Amino acid sequence: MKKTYIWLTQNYLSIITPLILLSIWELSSRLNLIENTFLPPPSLILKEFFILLLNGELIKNLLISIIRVAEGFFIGVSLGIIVGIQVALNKNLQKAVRFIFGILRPIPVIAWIPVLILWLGIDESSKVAAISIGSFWSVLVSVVQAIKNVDKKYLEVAKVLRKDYKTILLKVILPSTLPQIFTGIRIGIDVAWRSVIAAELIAASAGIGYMIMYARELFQIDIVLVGVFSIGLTGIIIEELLKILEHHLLRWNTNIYQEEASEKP
Amino acid sequence: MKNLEQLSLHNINKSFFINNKKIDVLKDINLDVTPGEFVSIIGPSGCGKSTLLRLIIGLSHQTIGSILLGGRELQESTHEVGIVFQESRLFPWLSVYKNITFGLENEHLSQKDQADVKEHLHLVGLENFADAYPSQLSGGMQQRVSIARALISHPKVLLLDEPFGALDAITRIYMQQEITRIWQTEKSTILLVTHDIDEAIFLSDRVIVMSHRPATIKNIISVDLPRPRDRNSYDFLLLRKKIYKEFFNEIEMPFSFSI
Repeated sequence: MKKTYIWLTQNYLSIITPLILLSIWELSSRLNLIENTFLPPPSLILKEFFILLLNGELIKNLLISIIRVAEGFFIGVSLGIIVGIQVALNKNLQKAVRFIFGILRPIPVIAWIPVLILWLGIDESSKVAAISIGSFWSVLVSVVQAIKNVDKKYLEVAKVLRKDYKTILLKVILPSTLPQIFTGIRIGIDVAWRSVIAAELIAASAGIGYMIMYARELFQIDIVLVGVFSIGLTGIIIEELLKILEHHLLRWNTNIYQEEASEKP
Repeated sequence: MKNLEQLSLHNINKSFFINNKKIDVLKDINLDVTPGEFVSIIGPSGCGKSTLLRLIIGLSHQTIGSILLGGRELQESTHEVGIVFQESRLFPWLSVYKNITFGLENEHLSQKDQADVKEHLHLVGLENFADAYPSQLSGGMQQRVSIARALISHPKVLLLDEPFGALDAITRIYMQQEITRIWQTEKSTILLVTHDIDEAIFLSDRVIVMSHRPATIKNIISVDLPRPRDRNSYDFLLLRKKIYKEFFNEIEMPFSFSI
């Protein structure tokens, strides 16, 4: 109880600001300042949200999208880390892929979607592939940068303690690059979400993007908006989950978490 | 009890190339360190003192010359030599305990290893900080962990590269007393690089004075003072004056000032 109170006193602005904005929106809708067919009031969107939530439509489509993101993200991140380590540690490989990566990396995922649909069809595989490509690059870039920036002093310590290559990679290079890799992962999950929605908007038979697109065709603006906002909602939940994971993995990183010796046990 | 061996530096020469220009850093260094001896190397900054330690530990290679331990060429893969750098260089993602065990050859700790780590934690006075992270320790404590990490594999020779240079004056004096105690318990041969004349006299059996680049051994001064040493004793001050003169012999104090 006391904890909630303290939390509220510190964070009340984050709560009140959106509430005020929502009230203004609601009010201007009720006073017919905004055309309801284009922007229905929040109460109506909320009502539609609960309808879709209860009949399972929203959960079903969201889940399909989330599973796609999870699959594609897993592939993209794993490949990004593996390829990133190889490229960062091998000078020849670096030269070999310099122009190939230079040309491929700036291509937005959305440009690949038509290509992927032609190659893989409109079902799961084309979406998963699009997500993988998106998250691959952001992780790759951060892994390569992070490894290049590993403090030479740490590597010298490993060398004077006569550690072999495998130990140096797993016990020194990886942990010291983890904070930067995490940044890449967070950007990667953003890109992954964007990619899946884009892919589903273009061609799909299920998923949250499909739900939005289908509702648009029927001019059900409230459903469209429910879809749009639920993407944001899922985004913030994933972000918070990642923060918890990061907190557990990077407890030592005082740049993020100032954990001084506490005065109480 | 480890069997200590003599460390010998034979005719060590080291040159670097900067923009294709050859720069001699070390020139004809010959030095024998008796087993169990505490030797300090003192010299002007940038003279190549640290480079000498880097050659011994194998982070760099001499252009000419050889480094022998017990008559054998020093092997790069062995744990016969340990080093403590000026910065503690602890891994911030590992606890104090894990940082120390990283100094062991085998990551899987036997019962004997665990007892050994405990003993070394006790040796450096940090038995209550085993689970702390380096960021939670003071500079002096971090350097103690770094000493424990270097000692855990029982090196025959311990190299100290200005280990207290970054500490405040009071902590430094305290650490100097500590290192004397650790040296007397561990019975390693210690080679210390420093730019602190007091520190060199307080700690060592012999003080090696290096010249400016290219560094040669300019003088070797034996310190025959009983331990524990008194920094303010007459003999200590005499030695300090003697070494001081090695660096500043050109500038003679005008006579009138000393009346």
